[in-house]
Amino acid sequence: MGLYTGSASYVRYRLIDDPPERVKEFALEKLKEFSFREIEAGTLNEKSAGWVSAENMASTFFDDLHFSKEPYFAFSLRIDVRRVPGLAMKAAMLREEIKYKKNSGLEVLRKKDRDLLKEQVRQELVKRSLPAPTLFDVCWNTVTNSILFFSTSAAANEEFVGWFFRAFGLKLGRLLPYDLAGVAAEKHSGLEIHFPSVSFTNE
Amino acid sequence: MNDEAIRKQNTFGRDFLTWLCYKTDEHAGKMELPSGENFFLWIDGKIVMEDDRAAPPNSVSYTGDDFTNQDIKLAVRSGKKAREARLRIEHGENTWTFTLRGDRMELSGLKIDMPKAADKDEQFFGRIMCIESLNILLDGLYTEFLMDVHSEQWKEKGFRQFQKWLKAA
Repeated sequence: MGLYTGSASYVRYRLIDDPPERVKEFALEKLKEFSFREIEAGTLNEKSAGWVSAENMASTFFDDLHFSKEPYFAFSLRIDVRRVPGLAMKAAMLREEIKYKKNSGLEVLRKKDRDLLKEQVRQELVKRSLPAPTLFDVCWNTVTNSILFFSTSAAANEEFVGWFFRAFGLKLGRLLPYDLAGVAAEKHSGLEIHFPSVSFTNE
Repeated sequence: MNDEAIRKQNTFGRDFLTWLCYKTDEHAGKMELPSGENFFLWIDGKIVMEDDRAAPPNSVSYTGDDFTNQDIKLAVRSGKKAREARLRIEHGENTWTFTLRGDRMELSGLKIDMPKAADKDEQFFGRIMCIESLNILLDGLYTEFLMDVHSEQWKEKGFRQFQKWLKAA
């Protein structure tokens, strides 16, 4: 979120690898191939990630060039995760333990049986839980090959870099202050960066 | 320290924010880039100063209207640098308010005031132009900062001027 509405929080990246010359066709193919797919009800899948339209998170069909807005590509990364709340897990486990002890006649569960029961309970709850979607906008400037990812969350950025590489086969480099200094030094021949950083006091 | 450690652990971002505090106070908010761009920049009601040489880091946070440049100077004198600050930039008809975190140059809470767009494309281009313009201004400021503090003149002149600002009431 942030590219179309609301306040924006973003991290700047640059493409380390060169994209193919016919970048629009390449992006269309990869967005389609790695588009988001819903987690099907009743399955054990706990997570699903993929590209969706930045204009409509429910639109996962990249069958046209709506994402291309010269010279930008705008799309979103959607990640759905099914999580079992800790307290729900605890309550279900206690209930199943009582049932298990009653049926087996045992007073204490062996560790192995308990672990097996716990996994069965967890899987049952996963099947019943609704996926929680998160959405992160992406804006790729195809002239400068710089990319904005609209989240400052460390986990989301890690997911994005990994998913971008998986989908496009292109490495992204985050623009940290050190990298921005390098970019500035490339543009200004007289600029020499000294290490360590500046001291503002007389220490 | 290897290259990757230097890349991740240097304090350029904090140095930049600290330098911005100095420049905006020295010039009453008026900033000028060599490209001829003129604009106003202020600390907008929030700054976090930190000295990370100690463990745990020694930090102080100022929010609201109750802090002055003297508070910032006091923090710098005690070895702290600006870790993050809420900034306000006014450039022509554009105004940006946002929080800049120095360590990773992350920008958050950017408010984009735009008239209601006729369609999605107008909305997109209006907002991305606004963001790109801000990035260009910030890159320009960052280059100015590097040219200033990493020049030979900094040692001879700039540092002394900075000290003068630091000590001024």
